Amino acid sequence: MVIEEIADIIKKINKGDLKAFNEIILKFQNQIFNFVLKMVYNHEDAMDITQDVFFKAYKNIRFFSFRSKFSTWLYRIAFNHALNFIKKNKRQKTADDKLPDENCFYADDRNMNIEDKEIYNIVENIIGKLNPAYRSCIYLFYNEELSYEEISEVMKIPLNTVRSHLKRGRETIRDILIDKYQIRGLNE
Amino acid sequence: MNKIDKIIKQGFYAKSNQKVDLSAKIMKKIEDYEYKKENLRFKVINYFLSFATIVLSIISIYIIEILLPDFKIYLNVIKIDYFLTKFVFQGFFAFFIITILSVSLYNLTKRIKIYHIKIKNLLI
Repeated sequence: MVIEEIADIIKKINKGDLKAFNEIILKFQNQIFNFVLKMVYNHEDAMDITQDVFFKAYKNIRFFSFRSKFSTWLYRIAFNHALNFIKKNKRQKTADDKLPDENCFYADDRNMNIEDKEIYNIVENIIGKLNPAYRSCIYLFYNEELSYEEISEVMKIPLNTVRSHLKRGRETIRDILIDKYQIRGLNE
Repeated sequence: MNKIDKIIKQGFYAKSNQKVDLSAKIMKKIEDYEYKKENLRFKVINYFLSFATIVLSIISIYIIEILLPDFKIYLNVIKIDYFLTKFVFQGFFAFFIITILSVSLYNLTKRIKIYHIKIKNLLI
């Protein structure tokens, strides 16, 4: 969604047209939901948090300053909200708890062979065990293809910390894959 | 991109593709919020007007005193305490006006809300 479209929607909302916000929801809900799901690892909680994120975004949309991308701003709200939720509830599910309800994972595995599927499940489990900051970094970098600068803006951490989070996260995944699951050729 | 990057990327892509439709729920939440906000605005106006009515009714008793300088004397003649009478009058007066104003304001706000929504829908 380009910046002019967002500006136009904000104008409409300020005039009292609530339906304009629906366009934003339809555009970003899946992205935000999947991001939150990767942080809290619970389908129901992720649904609730996503709703809260958009509600909060609606309340504060008039303060959006156009200094960053709109999606970055939304991710930032989602990240803060999910992090607060994790801190408050202390019931963040990890792979050890047997990764949550089946709904949590949607594998479009029609084109995958069994070996690939197995590796992806293992990777998913390892990522589930990482701390939320590393996990968010990895998710935003690999899945949403955000730049280091954007991740730093979303998580409000220095650029070098983003780099080190990504490096450590990547190394942890690689080491576990090599040591625990004997998967070779990962240094290529 | 080395192999570990590819594995993470493809793993994420395969497992982070859930589709949800929360728009109806979120919009409902937003509409409720807007409704409550509007309601609160009307409530504040209502309370302000009630307060103003009380103040006006207190002032009005003094106006009666000015308009009827012999008011005190009449009361003295029939041996009724002036301040008690004033207080009772004032109470009735305020209660009467507040009731009328509250009811009419309540109806008015309801109508305004209905017209507001109608106009909004027409404009959109």
